[in-house]
Amino acid sequence: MTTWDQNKVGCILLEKKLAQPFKKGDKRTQKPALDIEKCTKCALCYLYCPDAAIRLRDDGFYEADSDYCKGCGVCARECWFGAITMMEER
Amino acid sequence: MDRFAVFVPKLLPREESFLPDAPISCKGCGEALAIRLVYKALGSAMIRKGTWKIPFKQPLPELKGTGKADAAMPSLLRLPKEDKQVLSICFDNEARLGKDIGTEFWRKRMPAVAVAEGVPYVATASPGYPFDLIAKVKKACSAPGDAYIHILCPCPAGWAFDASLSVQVGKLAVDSNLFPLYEAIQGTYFMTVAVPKERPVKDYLRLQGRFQQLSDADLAEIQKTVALEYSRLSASSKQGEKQHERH
Repeated sequence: MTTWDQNKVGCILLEKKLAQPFKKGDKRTQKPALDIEKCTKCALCYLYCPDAAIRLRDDGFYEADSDYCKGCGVCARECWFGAITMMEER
Repeated sequence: MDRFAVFVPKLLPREESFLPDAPISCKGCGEALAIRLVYKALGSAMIRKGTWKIPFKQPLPELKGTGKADAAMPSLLRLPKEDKQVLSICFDNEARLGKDIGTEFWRKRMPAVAVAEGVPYVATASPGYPFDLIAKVKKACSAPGDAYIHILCPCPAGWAFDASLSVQVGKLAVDSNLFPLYEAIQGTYFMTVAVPKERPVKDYLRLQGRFQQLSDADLAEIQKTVALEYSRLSASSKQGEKQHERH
């Protein structure tokens, strides 16, 4: 059984941190989905992403990191080949 | 070979300097995109020396009344160069938070003021044309003397348009000649982006919720002013090898 003094303090930062540990993509309603067959690895989505959420995968494709993606849809709009579509978040 | 440049997004530096300290911005933030591109162009050594005169992190209501560029002050990044010279980069999201709401006025021509003040390198940039922006920031770092770059940052929340249109709006502002991209070296203007197809100002203004109250007569008047200003600018500028980017 845990007593009151073993509970962690809530809503307080106990150490000095940068913003990086905080996940910022929680509030989105849509997320980008990549169609690998249409993607030409041109990296335009990487260039235009305002939150630097699009990362290079090991196989050379670019995919959104869902911890940082806010679902703005800029990448889907700017993709010349229509390889990115916005899907409803589940 | 100097006349040619390669515009490949893949070849940009991978380092993300903006992300770790990034404040929580809205989705589709044009200012965040502009800062990210500027930081990519600067490299980490320059960034550490820079200070935010009016910080990006500051919540918007506190900017009220601190205005210099206009009723509201856009955030300003100052980077010291050698010999006490300063590179100032102004991120303008056109948030008129002060007393000017409801009055009719044209935006203050900050780059023109900087040219008139005798700043050796002045440039305007938009995140809709990223390679142009990166080239200008790099050039401003290496140019002798002070430098000033004015970046128009589309703001989906303030301008009331869909977040996915952020880059398109930045492009339209340039394509409609409302925010022409140029650089002024020692007072001589050079147009840097050859707009492939001119768009009417209406396309740009009607996209945004903040201009919905404008009537057709207002739009015609704005179009006339824009055409006049652009013809004046292009008459005084030199076109030529200075073009960074063709789309």
